[in-house]
Amino acid sequence: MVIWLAVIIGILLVIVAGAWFIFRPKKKATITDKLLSNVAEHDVEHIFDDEFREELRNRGRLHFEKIIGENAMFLQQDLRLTTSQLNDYMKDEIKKVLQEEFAKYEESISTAKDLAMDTIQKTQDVIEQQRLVLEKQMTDEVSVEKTRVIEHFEKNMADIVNHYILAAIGNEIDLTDQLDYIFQYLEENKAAIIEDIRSGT
Amino acid sequence: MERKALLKLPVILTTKQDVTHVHRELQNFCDLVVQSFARHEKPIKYPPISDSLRALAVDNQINLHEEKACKTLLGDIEELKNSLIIMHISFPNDPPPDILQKIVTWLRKEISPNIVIQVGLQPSIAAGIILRTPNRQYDFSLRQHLYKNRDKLIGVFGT
Repeated sequence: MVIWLAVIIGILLVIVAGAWFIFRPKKKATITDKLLSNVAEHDVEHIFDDEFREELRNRGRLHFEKIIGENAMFLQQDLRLTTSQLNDYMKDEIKKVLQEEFAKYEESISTAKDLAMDTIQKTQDVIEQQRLVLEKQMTDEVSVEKTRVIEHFEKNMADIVNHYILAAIGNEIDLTDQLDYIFQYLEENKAAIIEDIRSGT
Repeated sequence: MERKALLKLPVILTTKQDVTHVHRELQNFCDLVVQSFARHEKPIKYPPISDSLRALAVDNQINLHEEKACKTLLGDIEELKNSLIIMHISFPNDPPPDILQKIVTWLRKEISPNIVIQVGLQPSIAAGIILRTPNRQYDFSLRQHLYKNRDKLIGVFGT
């Protein structure tokens, strides 16, 4: 804004200087000139009377106004041209800055993406390792537990089978059917029983 | 040393309680017979007797109508009570009398004629019996049978 004001003031000064150059006082001439000057001075009042002066003044004013109008038009054209150029310049600059910023932003995004991918990959690796460790641990524990259960089952198999037989057909086993089995065992242990009774009585 | 059998115990007398019951019954019988003789009752009143006492008299060929024989039998029973061999047998369920009699018959024939048994119930043995003599226990149960054949069981289950 200040620049535009300074430009306008400068143009006005140039116009004023031009006007002054045109209407500046003439140097004194030679003797003839002086005589003529004297005559002119003598008649100047007669030639350049108030009406003529007024006429000159009006012409000067019109010329001044014309120059002022032309310069204002030129100034307006310059202003429009300057504004247009300035707009183009601003567009280019903004576009350039924006492109640079976008490039930086894109680079940052890309870097962050790479970093995130790297972190995710590391996390996946760690999780995979943990999974493998847990899997091995679980497998070992299951194996140990299975062995323990089998050993326990084998150790107590007779009780377990007996329990299930008892639960399934415990009340349906007839003693009559077991007599042969009982007498077989009694026969096998007959000597021991006799010995036991002899020594005990 | 095992005492010589004074009386032949009928198979119907399987437990010590049976023997005691017969002893008490015989004692009452003898008392009533003696009282009847003392009163000079004619005919002599003989009280009714149980199957157990009848079996005891028949097996030992004793005439209970004779006072002397009656008293002799009473004395023999008293002596027998002191020489009874008690065996405790646990069954998985309540055994029927015929089973008990078969077992008692075998025991008296093969082990000792003075054996009486005491019956116990132990449902956890499922099948078979557990025999307990005064000094030892013999496990003839299914569980023990399975224990003895544990290797076969493991083979069957394929563990």
